[in-house]
Amino acid sequence: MKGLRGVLSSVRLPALSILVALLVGGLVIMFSDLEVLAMIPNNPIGALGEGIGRVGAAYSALLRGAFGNPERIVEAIASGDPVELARAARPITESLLKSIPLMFVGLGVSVAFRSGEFNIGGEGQFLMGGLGATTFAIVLGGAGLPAPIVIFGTVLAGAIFGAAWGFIPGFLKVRAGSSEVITTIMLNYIASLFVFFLLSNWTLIQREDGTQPISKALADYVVIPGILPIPELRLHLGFLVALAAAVAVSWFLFRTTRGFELRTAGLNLAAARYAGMGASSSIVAAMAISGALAGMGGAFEVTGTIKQFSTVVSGGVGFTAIAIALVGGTRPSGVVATALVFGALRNGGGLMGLETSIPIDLLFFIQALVIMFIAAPNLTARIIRLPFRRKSKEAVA
Amino acid sequence: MKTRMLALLTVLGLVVAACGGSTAESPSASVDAGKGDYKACLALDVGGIGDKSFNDSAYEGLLQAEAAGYDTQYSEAKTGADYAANIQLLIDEGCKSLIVVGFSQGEAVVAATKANPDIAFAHVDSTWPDAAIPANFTGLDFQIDEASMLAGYLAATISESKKLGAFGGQPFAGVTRFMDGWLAGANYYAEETGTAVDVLGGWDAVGQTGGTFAPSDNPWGNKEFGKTAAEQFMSQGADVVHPVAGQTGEGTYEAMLAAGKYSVGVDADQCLTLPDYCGTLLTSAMKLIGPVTFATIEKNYGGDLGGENLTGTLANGGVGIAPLNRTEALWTATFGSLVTADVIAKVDALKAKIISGEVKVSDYFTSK
Repeated sequence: MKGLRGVLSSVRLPALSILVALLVGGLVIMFSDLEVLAMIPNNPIGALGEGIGRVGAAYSALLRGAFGNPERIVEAIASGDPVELARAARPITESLLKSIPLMFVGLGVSVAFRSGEFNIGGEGQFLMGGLGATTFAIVLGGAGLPAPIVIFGTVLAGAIFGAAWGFIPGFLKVRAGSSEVITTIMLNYIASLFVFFLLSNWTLIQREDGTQPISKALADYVVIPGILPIPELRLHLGFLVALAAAVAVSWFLFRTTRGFELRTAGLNLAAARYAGMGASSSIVAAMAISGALAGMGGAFEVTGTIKQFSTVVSGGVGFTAIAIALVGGTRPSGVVATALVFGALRNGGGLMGLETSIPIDLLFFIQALVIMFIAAPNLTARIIRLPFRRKSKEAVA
Repeated sequence: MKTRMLALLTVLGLVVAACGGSTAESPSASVDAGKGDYKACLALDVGGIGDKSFNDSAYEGLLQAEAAGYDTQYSEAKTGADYAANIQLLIDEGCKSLIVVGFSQGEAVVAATKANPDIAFAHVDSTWPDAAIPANFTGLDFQIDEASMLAGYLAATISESKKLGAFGGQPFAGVTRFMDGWLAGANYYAEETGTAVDVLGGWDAVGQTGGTFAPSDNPWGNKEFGKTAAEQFMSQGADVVHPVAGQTGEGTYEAMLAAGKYSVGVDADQCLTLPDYCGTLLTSAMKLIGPVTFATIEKNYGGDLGGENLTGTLANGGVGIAPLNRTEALWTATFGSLVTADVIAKVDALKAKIISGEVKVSDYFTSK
């Protein structure tokens, strides 16, 4: 029972934060609806009912968008028709797909956090990873090499490009004392401009017609294999690699000497130096690993999910990842779990927007609330008086 | 750690169960025959509704389709990964005519077009990548330089200093084509009247290089830059400025209005979308994305699913300039005495020549 209580206490705050954020989001849906607002003066109870109906419709669409429609899943399994099966299973697989970049960049940000670095450059490292992957996919794939080599080379190139983009701020910090907060933000701009410049001018990667800043169709060069037997589903190998990366990061941080040094540098730099640990190299290594993870995320996103490189592939993932690292307690398992939840929310938001015309921006609002509640645990404890804790105290008494 | 993750998923499962009770019935399909049974959809780019630019313009076309009795639906994207997902959601919702907005959606449209031969796809601001255009695809491109040439010619006509200015958001073809036409209009005026016209901003339409562009960290919403650029152009003597940079241009309109000088709007009739600036907005070079979107839906409904790239021109009404016989009080106070019947007749004459092919925009990329 002790184990269960431990689990409950560790997920209590994130889970309650998400619940409260959804509740507040519901209030926003209710009171931003012009029809509901118009009803309030004449028929407040009717307005309340109408408002609750709107919230129900929105969240129902959100859940069906994220996890699928249960009836449809049952019918599809009964029918055995592969097209129906694909459609019924698509929502949940799309949720997992949307969590892939969040996991990679979230893990990257966590590694940097653990060594005391605040990596705000996930966005740029992700883009550079996409650039490396795009370039090498076209070069290796165009050379007609076997598919496994092309895939491996493509992802490796993404990781190396991302690592280079993470290495620079780490190196500048230990050599020149420049704050990584500033340099990573600036490198985001440099990355996005560099990518834009290459996409507009470099005929190797630019689409053949050469008029717009967008890459060639990458499916012609590399195909990242899907992990489900239904070809219509986009969920690809990147998901398994992301999970493997989480295990690897966990092992590295908590089971290796290098990881221990890295964490020590994060907890107390002076103490780490005094103990004779290579604190400076820990910082550089942490930033490079952080960038490599983000770069792999970019590689899989561009070659596996979108299959075309442009300047809109990142869409703020570097910043969402900071939130994910925070909510996940910078633990790989927490990052994976949080990325799955945020991925599901992001994906469900698509159907919510379609059915109810509530813009997906509401989900960014909900995400921001979740982060706020996590960052201010005492506030959350007051909003809901932490039922798990009280119960456990009673059990003890 | 794994158990923690499991527990989090369990909690989420509880949320699912709790919310499942209030599942609203999805609206049942309309029983009306014809257009009411035909679903026309729009997959918008990042920016979405409220961008006061091409997304909004396309949405206007969808609203027009809704008013005409079609069943309509739309989606908005936030990142590149949303493109294919949104298109698939719309297909699952039963869309028969699907208009996709923005060139970044390229691969997503290509893949969906190939996978769904029964659904008509159209792509605003883009064309099919090669010559083998599928029978269910319509590329919608805009020959905007024809419209901006008219605007440049009109601006050169009413300019006192005979100095015009232009800048863009970013050096995309979709932006610089406005600048091509603007330059061509000024050069055409110079040739016709023998009066030299200077176009400031440094855009070289022949080499497709140079030009003044907004800082790329915020090209489309940087009103401060729009204002600074306008002030610089005015300090060099310009009295009509054409910003091609989304909301950045609003800063330009503000500065030009304050100085009692003139501007030319972009994409939509901005005297209508930004009525406060009607007193400086001589006209606007417009891509009529809304009407083209609606026309494409009508075409698809009529059974023609595509197989072609369509280019909006002055001739087919896909591009144009905002009307010059306006009645808005702010506009007539400024331009009533400048835009005379004689000036309008000259602009109309140039328009007729471009439509007939007698005048080619690219022939006027340099002054003669």
